[in-house]
Amino acid sequence: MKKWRFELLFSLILVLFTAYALLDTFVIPRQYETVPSVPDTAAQELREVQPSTQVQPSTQVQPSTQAQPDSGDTARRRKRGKPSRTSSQSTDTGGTSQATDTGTTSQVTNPDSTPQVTSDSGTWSDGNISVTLTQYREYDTDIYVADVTLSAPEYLKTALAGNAYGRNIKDKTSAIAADNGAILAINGDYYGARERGYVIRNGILYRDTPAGGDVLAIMNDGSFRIVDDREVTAQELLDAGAVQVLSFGPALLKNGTISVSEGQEVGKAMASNPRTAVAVLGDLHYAFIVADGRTDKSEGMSLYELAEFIRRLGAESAYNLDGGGSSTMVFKGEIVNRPTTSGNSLKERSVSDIVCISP
Amino acid sequence: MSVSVLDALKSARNYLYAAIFCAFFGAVYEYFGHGVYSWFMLYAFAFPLLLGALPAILYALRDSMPRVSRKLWGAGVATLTVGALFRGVLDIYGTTNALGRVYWFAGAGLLLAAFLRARTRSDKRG
Repeated sequence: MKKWRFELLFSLILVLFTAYALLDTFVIPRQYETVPSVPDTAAQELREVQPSTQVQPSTQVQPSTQAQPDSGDTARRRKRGKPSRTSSQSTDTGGTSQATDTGTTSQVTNPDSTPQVTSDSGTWSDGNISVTLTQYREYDTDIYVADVTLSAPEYLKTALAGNAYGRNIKDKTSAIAADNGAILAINGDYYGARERGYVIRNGILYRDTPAGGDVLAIMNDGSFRIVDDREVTAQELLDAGAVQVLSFGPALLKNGTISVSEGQEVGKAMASNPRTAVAVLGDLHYAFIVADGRTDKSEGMSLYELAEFIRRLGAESAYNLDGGGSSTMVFKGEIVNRPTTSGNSLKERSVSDIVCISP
Repeated sequence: MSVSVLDALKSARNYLYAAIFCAFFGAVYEYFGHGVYSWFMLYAFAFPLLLGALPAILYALRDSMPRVSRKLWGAGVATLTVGALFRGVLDIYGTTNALGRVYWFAGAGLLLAAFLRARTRSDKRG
């Protein structure tokens, strides 16, 4: 026993340190700052609107809640490299004073090179915000696109889990959305999983250490600016009018041109995965995109495929957000996609932050 | 064959087992990693193989390392191996933690200490 004393002691230290490091990485919450919560009025407004906007209030993350996907035959016709030639129908009703909601389904065949609509899953508008949710089927993947038109840039927001900035402060996208009265929400950049990368949210600078890559700055006029964080500091972005800065990337589209190569991936990820992205279609006109993946039903997309798809939506700029098991879209309190980490079960992952539309 | 050579060969065998375990663990982890890979996870087995088994065999052919040095060396190899697996787990999840650097510094420090201790002992004997 005495002979092995050093080995036993050292092994114990190594195991304990590793256990602590793993807990520190994945479990122990560290709150660095509290952020001002969204005014209660916003959440109240949404609650008031909810009764008339809820399409299927009883549904949650169940297969039955999804809009019906393509048949197998249709899916096979939409193989990679063979973009369909049909388009979605816009149901923008901006300008109305009353919040409206529809749960329409349509199969619109139309011009060149725009993606195939599987279904329109609903709309929401209140005069300042107009959202149309559409499901597509491309690359053997279910893709959900929320077309958003705003009357003012301040409706495009971000929110942090628990209204706090820190590590391992996480909550589900749907829960953060509900806490912040969001009509539409997608997962953000999961800043809490990394120690680097600019974090500016709702005009507050939380982290100014560059990660060495593309960051998305949403400016105070609602425009997108995608820059390399090695070339500009977080403070400079803030001074230039950045209201939100998200650090994940890479940029998918810049000035309408695809800015990722065919083999490019996020970090060490390979090929097809669930994806989340946000794009600018015009002035105060955005697309929130979530693609399912890792399942037999929905394969997932490469970054290039995602960029190509978004380009065909007519986007000028697009930025890739955290994907994989984090990819979630919530619309009117319901999860619209099929979030999964393993591919075996549908489960919404807790994340650090969301990008949302909130009145 | 001397006792020290037998000890070194036994040590090489243990390092080899550790390398096989790491290779297996890495393969299983990568299999469930949804295509996300990490060089650290894939090549974690190299630490016990190249820094453990190989030197042990070389020492067995010559002379065995002093006992304390051998223990320090083993601790260093173990630290680096666990550090590589830890980094692999974080890479595949897509996260980072500064604590991961502790493994590299501690592991390198232990290897250096083992080396210096062995040198000191051989100088004294010389």
